[in-house]
Amino acid sequence: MRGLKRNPWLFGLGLLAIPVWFGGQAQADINNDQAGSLIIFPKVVADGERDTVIKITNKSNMPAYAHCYYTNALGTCDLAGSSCTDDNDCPGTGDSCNVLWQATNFDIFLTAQQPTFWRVSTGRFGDLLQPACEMGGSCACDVNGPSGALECPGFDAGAAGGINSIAIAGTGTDFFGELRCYQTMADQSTPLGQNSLVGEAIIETIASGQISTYDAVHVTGIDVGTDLDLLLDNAEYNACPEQLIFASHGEGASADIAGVTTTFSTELTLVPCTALYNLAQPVTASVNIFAYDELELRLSADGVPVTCFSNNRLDDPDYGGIFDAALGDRDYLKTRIVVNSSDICLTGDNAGDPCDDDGDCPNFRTTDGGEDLGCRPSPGVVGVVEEFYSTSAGDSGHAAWSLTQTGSRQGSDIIANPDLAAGSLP
Amino acid sequence: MLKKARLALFAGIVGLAMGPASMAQAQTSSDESAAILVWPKVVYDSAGVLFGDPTDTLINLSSTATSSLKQAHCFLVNATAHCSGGSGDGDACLSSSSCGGGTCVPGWNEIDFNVFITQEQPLAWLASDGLSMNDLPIVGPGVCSNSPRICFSDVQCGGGTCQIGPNGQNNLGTGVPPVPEDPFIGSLTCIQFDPGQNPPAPDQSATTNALIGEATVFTVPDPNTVDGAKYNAVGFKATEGDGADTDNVLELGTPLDGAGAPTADYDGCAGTLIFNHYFDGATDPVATGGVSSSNGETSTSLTLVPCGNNLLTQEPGAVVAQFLVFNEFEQRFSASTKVDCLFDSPISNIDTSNNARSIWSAGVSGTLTGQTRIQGVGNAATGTGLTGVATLSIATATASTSAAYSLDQMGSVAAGDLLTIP
Repeated sequence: MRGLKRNPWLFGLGLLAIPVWFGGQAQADINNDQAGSLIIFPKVVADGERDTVIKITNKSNMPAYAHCYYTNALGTCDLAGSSCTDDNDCPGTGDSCNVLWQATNFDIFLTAQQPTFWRVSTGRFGDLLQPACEMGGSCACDVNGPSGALECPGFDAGAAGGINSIAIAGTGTDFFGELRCYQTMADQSTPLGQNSLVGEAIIETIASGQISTYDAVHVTGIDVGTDLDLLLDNAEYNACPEQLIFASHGEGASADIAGVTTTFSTELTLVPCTALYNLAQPVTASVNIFAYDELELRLSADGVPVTCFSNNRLDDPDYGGIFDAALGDRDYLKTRIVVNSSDICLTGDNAGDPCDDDGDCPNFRTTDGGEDLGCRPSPGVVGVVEEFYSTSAGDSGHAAWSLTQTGSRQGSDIIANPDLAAGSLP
Repeated sequence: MLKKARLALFAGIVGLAMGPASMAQAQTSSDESAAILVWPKVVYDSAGVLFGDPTDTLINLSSTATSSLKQAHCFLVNATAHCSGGSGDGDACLSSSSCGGGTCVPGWNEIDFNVFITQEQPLAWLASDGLSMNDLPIVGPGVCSNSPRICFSDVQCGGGTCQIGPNGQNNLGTGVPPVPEDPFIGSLTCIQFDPGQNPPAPDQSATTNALIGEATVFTVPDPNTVDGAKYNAVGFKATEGDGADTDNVLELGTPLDGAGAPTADYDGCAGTLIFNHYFDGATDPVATGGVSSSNGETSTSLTLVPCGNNLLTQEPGAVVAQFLVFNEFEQRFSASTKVDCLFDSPISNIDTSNNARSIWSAGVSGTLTGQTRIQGVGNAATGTGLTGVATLSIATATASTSAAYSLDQMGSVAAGDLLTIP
């Protein structure tokens, strides 16, 4: 590729990289290409400019039930009033991003082998009278007048809505966050390790019609208990990876693609594996990021926080400019995201601070299932990457892909659900 | 009728006892580093002859090894078909309908090359260009180990060693040819070799699963628009039990031995591939309501390649792919087709040339989305495993936009597959 050509004399000048030894890790067990009992869509957008279609299918010959959570990470700049996901999105001095990280939940139900989909902003309306598509006609959804939800030919997956009502509620056009669904028994609450769920997401830019797709992160259930705490510990569910790897263009790099000068920008989305839905409280993970160029030159950004949801272009200040293509011919990069394994207080007065034991986390909380949320290893992360292309005429297409995973964390992550029957919502 | 069936179905399934399914896990993966990588779809079409718009593919190949040089021995399979007879004699084709009375004859041949990757290094090249000597990132000059002298080889160091690149690792020996014709469609397979062995052989070291890869299929419908469809290469890990051996017959998955350890060289292909898709001709839900510039008609292309090939005798794998298709009503359809070297087709052309009558047509299936399960069968000596990638396209007001995604995998091929290399 012409844009990646290097000057070999640079090496004669002594441009040497420092190797980093990460040791031989075991392979990660969560994945993007096998069905799971917990599926995570790290990037779901419905902000008026872009929208997302969620596709989930039941690969088993049994019915599948799932309980799902949307988490909205879109906030508002306190001073500017504009939308934001972190403080860096609020450029004014002293301005900060006020995010509620509000989670909303719903249920889905799939018959054997059933695929389903819904548009995130509108949701889907359950209408038994919606006729099936027929040969020679169009096959499209309609808009349900009162609700704005889509009425689509087919068997909607909404479990709670029933007939002629909202099956899956829309988020509206002020949503930027994640979706995760865990498979349940027929009560739509008790976890079940049937490993039936497969998911993909399609993100579409409404103005241009350009699309990106990615495979959901699938977490395999191993020996799933009936309590409401999902333990990603390689015993109940597979654990999150120790490292994530992706290759990308340097931020702002250009190359000739079929005769068109194309500039590349990449957006990295990360979410903690741990989620405390029982407390409605955001969780912060911490990662160290190492970016290697083709000359093995390594630059790093250490201690990058991932609070509930992180979605940043690679030129975000959090990354310290390590992805800048202009910084020494960094046209093409390979990036390792290494999860910080130090212990932190997950809840309590010192939430987010380093700790040695639960005693360092006064007033830490406990889940309904009895799991202490005190001093625990810093949460793991999963995510997705999306690449944006621009030409001299402006923004053009985009494409998303999965992060490569390596290593397997040891028993640190938990997804704590509220006991709705017991009314334990905070 | 369907509505009654739905109600009955809904009522009937409530209360069914459920238990964990006992499916074996697939072995290949698209999200872990591996010893063999397969990019099922590599295309180049500078004038849009086959694919409508100018198209090129960016191949990414990276090493996750943290301390050693790795070698990838790669096989670029050319599966471009050509017209035989008719007014288009000799032209590249996708079907006989473009051959002006002639026949579109499938083609198959491969070329191989080496890529040397230093620790942690990312490499990328366009299918149209390859990587020439001048494009390689680390080729020297180096510095003599016994004096601060610039050098290109050991002979210039008077008994010392010419250290080229960090830790003495460099890309010398790498040469990636451009795809051999335009237009081109084919696949790429790279096998991790041990650069320290003579003759070269599959890597048996502890860091044998060090390769990761992606491909981006770029389409340029006009000088102002670049569209990309990106997917992860499919990886086969060397097994922890038997491990990669040094002969030229690579065993991809076989039954476990008595102690439960794998007896193959590499993990096997998925027994069943699953993908979730729009049926062709459905209207994109985001276009509903008229707020999108997309007019919204969807189509999905499916690319499949056999896991096994005989690259020594130039005999491609040949597998019959059996399809089970489910719509949202849980209605089931089936079809089959032959995958000879490489299969790439809109899903609504798998079973018929009349898209509107296909079981993958939204008008026939009755719903917008479906689930397709793919299983390879046959008696080819190379095995019955299949792997592939799906590409979704949605028509916009002026062109179309596309995105690729991996096929989900379930189980593994019981008898395994064989990849024989020269």
